[in-house]
This record gives sequence, structure tokens and C-alpha cells, in this order.
Amino acid sequence: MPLLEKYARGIAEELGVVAQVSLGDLWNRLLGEGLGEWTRLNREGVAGDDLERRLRAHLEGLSEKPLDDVSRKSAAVAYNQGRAAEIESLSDRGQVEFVVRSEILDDRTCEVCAALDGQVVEVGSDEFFQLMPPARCLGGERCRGFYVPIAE
Amino acid sequence: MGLGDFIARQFPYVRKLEERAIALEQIAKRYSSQSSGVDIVGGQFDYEYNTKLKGSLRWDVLEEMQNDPHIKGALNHRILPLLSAKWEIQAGSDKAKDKDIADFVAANLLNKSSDKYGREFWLQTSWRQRLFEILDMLDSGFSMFCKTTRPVGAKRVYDRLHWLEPSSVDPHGWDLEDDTDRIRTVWRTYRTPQGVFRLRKKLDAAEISLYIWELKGARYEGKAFIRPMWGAFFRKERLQKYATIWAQKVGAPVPSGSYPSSWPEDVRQKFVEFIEGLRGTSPTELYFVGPQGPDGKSHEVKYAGADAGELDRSRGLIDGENAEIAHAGGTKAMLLGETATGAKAVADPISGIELIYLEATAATVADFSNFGAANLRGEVQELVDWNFAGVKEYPQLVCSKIHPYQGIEHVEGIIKAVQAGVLPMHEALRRQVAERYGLNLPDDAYEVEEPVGLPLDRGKPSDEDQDANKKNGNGDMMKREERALALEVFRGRMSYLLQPMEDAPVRGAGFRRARTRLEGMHVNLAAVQDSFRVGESDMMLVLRDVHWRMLEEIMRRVADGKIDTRNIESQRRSKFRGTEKALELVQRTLRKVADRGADHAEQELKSQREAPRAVA
Repeated sequence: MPLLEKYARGIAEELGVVAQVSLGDLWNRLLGEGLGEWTRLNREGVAGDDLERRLRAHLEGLSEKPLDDVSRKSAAVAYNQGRAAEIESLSDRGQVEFVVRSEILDDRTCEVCAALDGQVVEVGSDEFFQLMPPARCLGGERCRGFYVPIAE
Repeated sequence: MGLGDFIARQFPYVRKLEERAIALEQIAKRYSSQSSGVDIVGGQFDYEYNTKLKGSLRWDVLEEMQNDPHIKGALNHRILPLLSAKWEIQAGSDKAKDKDIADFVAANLLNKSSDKYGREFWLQTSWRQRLFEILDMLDSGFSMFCKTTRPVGAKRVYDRLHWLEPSSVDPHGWDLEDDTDRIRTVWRTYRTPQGVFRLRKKLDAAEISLYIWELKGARYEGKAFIRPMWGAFFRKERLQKYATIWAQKVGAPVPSGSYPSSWPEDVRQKFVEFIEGLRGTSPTELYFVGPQGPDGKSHEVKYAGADAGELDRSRGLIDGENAEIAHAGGTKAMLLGETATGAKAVADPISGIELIYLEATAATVADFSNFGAANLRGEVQELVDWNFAGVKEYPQLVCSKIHPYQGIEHVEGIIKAVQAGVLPMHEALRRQVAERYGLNLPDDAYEVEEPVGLPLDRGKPSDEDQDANKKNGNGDMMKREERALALEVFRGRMSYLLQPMEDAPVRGAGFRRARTRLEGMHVNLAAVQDSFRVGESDMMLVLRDVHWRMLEEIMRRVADGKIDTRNIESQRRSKFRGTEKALELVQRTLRKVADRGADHAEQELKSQREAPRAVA
């Protein structure tokens, strides 16, 4: 069953924000590293092809961890936004009223998520948005929590 | 045929000498125009062409310029906000070791004590004093410090970073290595406070810390920030002298008088005394009474130049020179409202641009302090290397809050990111956002509330609810009661589903606890787990591609010569040109992940509706 229009629009906006923040993080980090290294090389008197070669080597040698973090974080947010949009859409159609937060996945759950595991909340209530995974998770991008809808 | 040609033809050796002279001249020209190194002769930098601003002559001129109110205003505009900004040492990472190193550096360089590093680690001079001394590079082109150290326990710290009068650096005192242009020594000539004359005293590179304004290549004397104001200052000084002379003439005019020739001698004498009296500054008691001539004409009194025009007729020219100074100093906003033209309305955007100049100045100071100049080491890194081994992420001196509302333009994006769950709501984040609005709230105002949840045993209204009900009427209370009751009834109906499955393992296999019946019977946990994993993996592929495009863009900018030392800060704020395409790629990937989430939720509900409902 297709999402209701307002939820389809909402999720597009939310994913847009996630994408913008994620790309902004990557660009700022890479540009900062590039300009920092360029300044250092320039100060050492390195120029021309040699500078380009050394700068490229530096940038290509950077750790992929930030990419990995952004991938985990944005995928977790996107997956849960998709679930939430579907649940809200079905709630409007009278098919679901409550959800339960599940933290069963991943056996290294943080304290906060462990406390929230099993919480039942009403769809569309303040708590629904405040507790939507990965919200509140101390591990941020590592959160594997999700809402399970409970049929009427 | 000229005489020169005649002589050259008759005396061939003359022609040869002439040809040789021309050849030598060409060689000299070629050497001076094609030199790739810094322009330095006998230890004196020669890249300044104005003789008044070269060698030791320049110090008096620069001093005189700094006393011009408009030039001083431009300097204050650039210096004072940095003195009140926030300077701190930022740890290289969140690791305890890196934080400890940052505390150590902050204690020594900024005189900021921590639990571990107290006053005994402080420098002799305060950070504000030193910052003022560092920023003397704006007045003089460079700011030089002599470093001395002392041991504190097992550590070595700076004892003093002694600012050296720039005029004490011998004009011929720069000793650079050939080829590399590295500084070997600097020679100083000065008189001590006790009057002892020191001629060519040597300072080794290792003893020097150097801050340079507009450092290019090996131009270690830099270029004073106020140097471009010289032309306007020079012209303004003359204009002001002429204006003063004019004001003297017109503002204190010379009296002149004439009288009828028929006047008797005694009346003439009184009239002369009267005119003499008009020369003074307070002729309030002066008067004269005299007869008319036979033709009815009487005496006449005039002031030379009184009808020659306004007193301040050079104002337009002087304002023009002040505007030139403001252009060079980046203080146009200060000028608005001061001159006859301009409007406060445009001052704010201009001030925004001028704020960027301030940030660039702060970044320059931080850069030299962190990384040093040329072969001279930065104080931060040197201090770390003396005292800690194997440091990968060095701490850095950073400046923020130059303007109380600095960074406020990002607040909206931060709030959106928090709402989207990309950023966690944290005490530090709240504090930063509040401080960007210039607010300084008590510590407890930033605390993040405990997670709001509905405890499983909640159902009945609390005492507080009932008290609130008494005060506010029954409407809200009824709604809360209805909701709590609905939840309680729902839990009762669903408790069977929320209990652990009998045969499920308690823990392990990637699960933190036993599955509930709801999870075990209606949720495809493997598919959920897989969606997270595949989503991450797809995103990683896309981000790698975007990362590569970003890298190529940076390399292209370098290859095209678009990055240089002067535009480094504007480059830092520049946008990724491929943003639009990258956004599309990332959004498309995220949308696939979200769609999987939506499908799973729908399937889970469908599974529940189709299954026979068991009641506890």
C-alpha cells in the first residue's frame, strides 16, 4: 500500500537533510585536510607536479572511518524513517495505534537503548518522535533499534 | 652619419667595448628579472621599493602612521576583537592522552590551569599581552620572539616568549641558507636598558619564534598591514598642513584699514591703534570714533581673505584619503555615517565581510603558533615534541567567538540534524547553540532530560496529574486518563505478544535478549539486520564515489592554480561543485533503505492480522 502523500513528502525532506549533513561532513573534512596539507607543502617550498603528487598521496591515504561512520549513521536513520513513515501512514488508515521499541539486534546495546527496549508508545504522540531510533542512543550511528508496529 | 658611428668605424676596439657594455647590461637585466629567490642583498630584504619604508628608516614612518586616527582605528578594528575572542587549545582527538597534552599546552601557552597542570607551568607573560605583541606584525610586518625555557619536574616548558622590538633587528641581519631560503640566524643591533650598545648580536633560528603578515616565499619581514595606507597617509598629511595654514589665514584674518586723507594726525593715530587692537583674539572692549571726510566718506576696515571662501575647504580631499585608508584597512563600515554619503543600512553586510577578515587574521595567528613559519617550529608542536613521544594528532590553538553571534547561520541546520537523529542531543550541543545566540545560561539549563518513556507499569494518573486537574479543569485530565486507560487495555491484550518465546535462546546469535512472540512470529529479524547492513554497504559505495569526486575537485583546483596563500580561507569556505549530483545519488540510496524499512513494517502488520490472535 503506497504511503500517504504527506508522509512521502516528509520522508523526502528528512532524507534530504540527512544527505546534506552527511555530504557536508565529508567535504569539510576532505577540504580541510587538503588545504592543511597544501599549506604545509607550500611552506616547505614544494610546488608543481611534486606538490600535486604528494597532496594526492596524502588525500588518498586518509582513513575511511569517517565514510564508514556516515554510512552507518545515515543508513540507520533512513531505515527507521521509512518504518516510521509507513507506520504513521497505516495509523492514519486506522490499522495501527501503538508501536514497541525493539533493541533486540546487536548484543552491545547502550544503557539508554537497553532502558528503552520494550517501551510501548502511541503512534504520532510526542514520545513516538522523541524515542524513534536511533534517537537518544549513546552509540549514535551504531544503534540497531527499530519500532515494531502492533496491529489493532 | 653621427660622430659615434664615425668613431666606431674608424676605431674598431671602441665598437667592441660598446658591444661588451651592452651585453653586460643585458646580462644584469636578465639576472634581476629572472631571479627565482627572494629579493635579498647583503642580509637586507629588498622587495620594498619605497626608500622611506626600507631599512631602519621605516620604523619612524610606520610609528607616525600608527598615530593617524584613521589608521589607528583600522588597527584597533583588527586587533581588539581578537583580544576579546575565545582562544583555546583543542585536543588532537578525544583520547585521554591527547586531552592531557592539550591541557599541558594550554597551561603553558595560555596560562590556563587544569587539575594536573597548575601555575608552575605558566609562561611569564599573559596570553593577551602576547597576542597584542603577536599582532604587532600588522604594524611592522613581522613580530619576533626570543624563546627561553625552564624545566618543571620532568617536563620542559617555555619560560618566556620575549617580544623583540622589530627595529632592533639589524636591517642587514637576515642570514638565510642558499637554495632552501631557510633562516639560519638573525642579527640584532640595539641598546640595553643600562645603555650598553650591542652590535650585531646573534640569534639562532632555534631561539626564534616568528609571526609574519603576508608571508610569501622567503619574505620573512612580511608586509605591514598598514603599508598600503602609506600613499593616502602621505597625501593626507600634506593636505592637512595646507588646510591648517588656510584655517590660520581665514580663521584668524589680518585686519587692514584706510582713512580719509583729510583726517588730522591725532585722529589718524587713534585709528591706527584701533586697527592694531583688532589683531588680538579678544577685541571686545575696542572701539573707535572718528570724523567723516569732506566728501562724506569715512574710514574702512577689512580682513584679508575673509571673502575668499569657507574655512574647511580641504575636507573633501581629506575625506577621500580617509576612505582610501578604510579600503586598505577593511573598515568601510566604520566610515558609513561619518562621511556625507553612505548609509547605516549597508553597514551590516559590510561588517559581515569585515568579520571574515578578522577570522582570517585569527587563523593566521593560530597557524603560526601551531605550525611555525618556514623552518622555525610552531610553539605548540615544539612544546609537544619536547614532552610527549609518539604523538600523532597534535593539539591546536584555535580562536572562536570573535563576534558574539558568530556561527549563528548554522544553527538552523544543526537543529534539523538533531531532529533527524543525525546529531545526538547533548549538553555540549545545547550549550554551543545557546552561546552562539550570546546567551550564558546556568549549567543545569543545558542538561539533557532523561529519555521520555512510558514505563510498562504506568496506567493510572499520578498525584501530580490529579493536582493539575484540580487547578486546570477536567479537560486535559480526561484526555490523559483516557490515553493511559487505552494503553493499559492495549497492554493487557498484547501482553502475550510482548512476552519472550518459550524456545528462544536467552541471548546470543546477535541478539541481546530472548525474542518476544511479536519479534519471533511477526518480524523478520534477519531481514531487518540485513537491511541495516546492505544500507550501510550501499551508502559506503556511493560515498566512496562522492569522496573520489571531491578529491578530484580539490586536485583540479590545485592544478589550475586556484589555491594560493591569500585565498586559503575563502577556499576553506567554498562549496563542493558536484553537490547537486552527489545529493541526488545519496538521497536515492537512502530512499532505497527507507523503502525497505517501510516494506518491513507493512509486512509485520500483515503477518499479525493474518495470524490467529492469542489472548493472555
